[in-house]
Amino acid sequence: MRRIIFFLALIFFSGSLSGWTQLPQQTRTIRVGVYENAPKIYTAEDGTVSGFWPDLIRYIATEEGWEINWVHGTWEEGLERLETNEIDIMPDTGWTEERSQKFAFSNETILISWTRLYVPRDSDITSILDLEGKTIAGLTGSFNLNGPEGIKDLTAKFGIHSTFVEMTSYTQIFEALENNEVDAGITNKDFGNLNEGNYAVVRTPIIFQPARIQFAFTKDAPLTPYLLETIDAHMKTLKEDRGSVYYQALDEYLGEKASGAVVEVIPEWTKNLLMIGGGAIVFLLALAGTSRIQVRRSTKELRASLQKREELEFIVNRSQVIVFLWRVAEGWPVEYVSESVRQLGYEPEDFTEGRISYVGIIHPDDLPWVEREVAAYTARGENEFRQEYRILTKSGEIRWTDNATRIRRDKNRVITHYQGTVTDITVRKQAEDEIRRHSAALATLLQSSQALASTLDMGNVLQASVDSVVALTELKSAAVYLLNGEILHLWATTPPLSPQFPDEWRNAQLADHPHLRETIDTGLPVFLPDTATADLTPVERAVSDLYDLRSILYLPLLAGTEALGILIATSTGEPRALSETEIALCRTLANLSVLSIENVQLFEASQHHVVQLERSAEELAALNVLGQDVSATLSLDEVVSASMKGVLNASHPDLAYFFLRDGDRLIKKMIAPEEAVIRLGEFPEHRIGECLCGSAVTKKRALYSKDLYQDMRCTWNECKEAGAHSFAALPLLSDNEVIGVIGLASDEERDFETQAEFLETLTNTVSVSLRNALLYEEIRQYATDLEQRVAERTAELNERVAESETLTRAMIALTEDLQNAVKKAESADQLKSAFLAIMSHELRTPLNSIIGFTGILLQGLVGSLNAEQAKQLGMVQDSARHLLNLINDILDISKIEAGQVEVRFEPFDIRAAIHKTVERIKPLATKKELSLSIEIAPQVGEIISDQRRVEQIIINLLSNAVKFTDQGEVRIESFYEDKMLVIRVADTGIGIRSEDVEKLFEPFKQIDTGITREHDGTGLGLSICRHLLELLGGKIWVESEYQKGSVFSFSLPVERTPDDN
Amino acid sequence: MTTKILVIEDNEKNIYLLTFILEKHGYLVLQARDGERGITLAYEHKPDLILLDIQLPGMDGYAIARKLRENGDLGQIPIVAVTSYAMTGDRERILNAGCSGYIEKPIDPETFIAEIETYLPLSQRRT
Repeated sequence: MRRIIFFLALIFFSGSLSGWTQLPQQTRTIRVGVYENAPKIYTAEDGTVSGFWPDLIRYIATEEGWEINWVHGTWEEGLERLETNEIDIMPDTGWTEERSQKFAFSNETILISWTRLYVPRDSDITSILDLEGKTIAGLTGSFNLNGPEGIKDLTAKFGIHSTFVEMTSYTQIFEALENNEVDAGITNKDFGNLNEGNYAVVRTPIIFQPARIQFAFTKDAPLTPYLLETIDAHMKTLKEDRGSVYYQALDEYLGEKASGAVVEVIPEWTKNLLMIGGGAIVFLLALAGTSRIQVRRSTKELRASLQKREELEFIVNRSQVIVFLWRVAEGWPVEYVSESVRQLGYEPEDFTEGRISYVGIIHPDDLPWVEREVAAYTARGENEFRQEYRILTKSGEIRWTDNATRIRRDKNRVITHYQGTVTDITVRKQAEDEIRRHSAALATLLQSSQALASTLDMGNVLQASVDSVVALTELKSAAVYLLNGEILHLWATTPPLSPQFPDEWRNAQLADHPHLRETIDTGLPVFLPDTATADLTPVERAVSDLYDLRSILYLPLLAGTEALGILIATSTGEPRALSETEIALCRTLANLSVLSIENVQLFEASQHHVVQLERSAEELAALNVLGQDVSATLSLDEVVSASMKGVLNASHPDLAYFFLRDGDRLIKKMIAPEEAVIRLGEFPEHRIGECLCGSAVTKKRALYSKDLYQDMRCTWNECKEAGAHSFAALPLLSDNEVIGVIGLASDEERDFETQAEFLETLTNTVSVSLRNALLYEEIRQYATDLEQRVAERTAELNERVAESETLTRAMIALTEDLQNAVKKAESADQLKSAFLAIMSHELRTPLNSIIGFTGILLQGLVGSLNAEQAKQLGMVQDSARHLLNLINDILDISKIEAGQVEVRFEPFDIRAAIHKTVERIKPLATKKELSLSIEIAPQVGEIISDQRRVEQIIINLLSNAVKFTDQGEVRIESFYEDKMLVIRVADTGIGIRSEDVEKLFEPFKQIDTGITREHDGTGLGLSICRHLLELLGGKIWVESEYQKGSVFSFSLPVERTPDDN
Repeated sequence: MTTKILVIEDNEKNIYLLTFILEKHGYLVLQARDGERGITLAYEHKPDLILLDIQLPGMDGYAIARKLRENGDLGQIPIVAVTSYAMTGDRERILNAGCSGYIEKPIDPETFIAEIETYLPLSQRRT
């Protein structure tokens, strides 16, 4: 047959050659390596390069406009050519690390493949270990032979020594196997799947080296990046489309359904059928080469089935899932079962050959309901159902399984088979049980801890602990003991004690019981698994027999490292080890018990503290009340009775005395409570140093006696006769002197000293008040004496008083006169102010008209004036202005004298103020043809003063200077001197005689009446300036030379100082 | 636009004097001889400036200034007191009552216009 194929191939090949034409310029010719590896790539009978890869390559070539040049050769030749760039692409190349160094690979994986070991028929090789000393054939250059995880690598790893024969094609390998030339041979799965039926070869379960099969390219060839990118791009697109040429080729050549893995059980019985079918195809091919189409389709179907079956077996045999096919008959006879049934210890044949029935391995407890359910599902016409039940392994172990069953029916709905998977879920079941048990334990534990926390009674706590032990575990009884010295006392048991329970075991001596001793000493649990064999003390034995105990756990109750007691937990029946969970629970409960015990102990300790605190509070309250009572009074009797009340309230003695000291005697002041007075009868007076109370005086400290009968210090018998047993003698000390004693007696034996601190605080309080009361008594006595003397003196004084009254009346009259005078003076001053205000206002009103209309006329607003009219009107205006100045000056001076002038300090620029005033004076100076100059030092700027007043002063000085100067100049200067601002106005005027300088600043003191009249002065200006400067914190002075000129200067503080006002 | 100045003054000579000067300088003068009339005119005409005497019959100048300042519309009009009150504290009382400024009588016709114009925006000045 192969000859025919070869012949046909030759014809086809030559035919194809004759069809070639000259390639167009833009057409690329891609050289692709071809080797014989049907169905992936091979040369068909007609010589066409066929298979999965050629289909893919042809598709891409058509898309890209390539011409393909198929270069035939062996696999090894192909790889060599690729390395030397004699070809561009080698398809069907498995990726390995080693090859990736030599070749470039497409990124897209095209196929997944693996290698299988085949053997000749009748070979006994079934596992890799059987290859020892055998000859194995492999493909030259293939990585399943030489590559990593290849057969050579694999056998070496198992320490197997085999001989390897290299062949140039997989067909040769199968031929060699058929002829028994080699013991084993390896091919890839695709070749094997297709060809195994055509040769006398048998597949083994040995498969290895799963690999990604890709396109390979010459490394570093100029065309490679283009090819790689183009092919990858196409492959990516092809793989996304289920209907693409890629999936078609997979389906056609490799029997791989495009829809992916459809898991379907291929039962064993079909195997024989397939084998027969395979044989039939060989026969048909040999006979009828003509019906190729039909053969090809059948081949494809068979290939697909084989592929599926193999893959499924591969999966099933390695999983925990066991596949069963049951016939519908009594006992569910098994027709097929997967190899994985071995995990249960059975051979598949055990079932298929009827040695074991399936129902026989179902747990007898589960079988009835399993059968019931199957019957029910079947009757209901269900197609599928699931059950979880137990089955028995060959060794008798119980396994939980999950059984998913499909009911197979024929087209008449008649059931033919049950088909199903059985999965071992024992581990899951165990985990579920574990979780359920833990959850239950946790819930109970929570309840227990709440129960333990909710009680503060030791007995309840411990009862709760032992109850919990029994509730939480499968243990039957529990007991808890607390250690007291060397004895363990039984506190709680569950169930309740039997009347026969030995007393010796209620209070167990550590010394007598080694197990108890060991538990306490080591702080570790002691476990006796079986009482029958354990070394028990007679008492332990008695208890064990009484309750039929089998295992005993002694668990220490540990607080830190200290053992507080022991928890005993026991079980009955079969001897057994305690589970870790049980021990852990017992430990937790032991810990909880310890916590609770500690809580109870803490609670009891805190209760004790509360009692003490309550007592302290009572004492403090008594002290407080006492302190208030005794401080509130200076009466001796009240101090004494308050003290006694305080003592009775806080210390509750049966009898209390209060003595006052009087020299060397103790005077009884009070006995309390009242009934005690009767009881005590006559009570003699003490002397200091006698008995306890007297001794307390000499020793200056409190004396306590618990038992008066035994106390040598108690020399008087009165107290004892009154029933006293214990006594406290508390001295009342003031300035280190005892001023009294409080005695307390108790009929019962009592230690007053435990209250010492309180009692001494109390006596200190009492002492202070007692001292005060005694002093008050003294003072009162003294006061009484004084009263007498005061009365005598009063009469004497009364006479004197009469005299002084007369005198006082005279004084009052005089004062009234003075006050009237002051009032008159004040109203005169007010009158003056009012007069001035009115005068000022009333004079101004007419002046407003005079000055206003004169001004209008002189301005020419009404019409032009002739020279004489203007001159006369000017005179009116001057006079009016003079009058106004006079009014203003008088007003100013009177305000100053009345102290009504207020100055307001604000920062302002003195430089600007000087310029402003000069501008106002300029017209006057210009009129007199005087030069007016300013010189201000550069640093002069802002000062803090009263701008209006300062300007008033400058104008005053400037107008004076202009007024009294007929020729020459007026000059104003300003500079700083001694931190003061100085403003100086100098003129070249008439000057002042030195004898007149002093009078200059007096009001209305005219220097020369003639001059004054001539110069229109009011004579008030300089006086006003001086007063204003006093208010502003400055001063004014003058330097002058008669007939030469004057210099008026004034100084101002630059900043306001605190005493400026 | 004419700049309107309201003069509130009871003295005939003074009102004549002020009116004369102001009109000579191109201002429109509204005259009021007492506070009530003055306030009415202020409301009606919204003058650009108010010259206010303090000593008036009936309502005095302080009360008038306060009244004018209470009204939002008139609140912005400058009010300049023209008064012969020159005693201590008069000035402060006048400014506290809401006046913008203070000119002491007697007025000086030479400087009067310049003084009142400092209270007017440039656009409304006439000199």
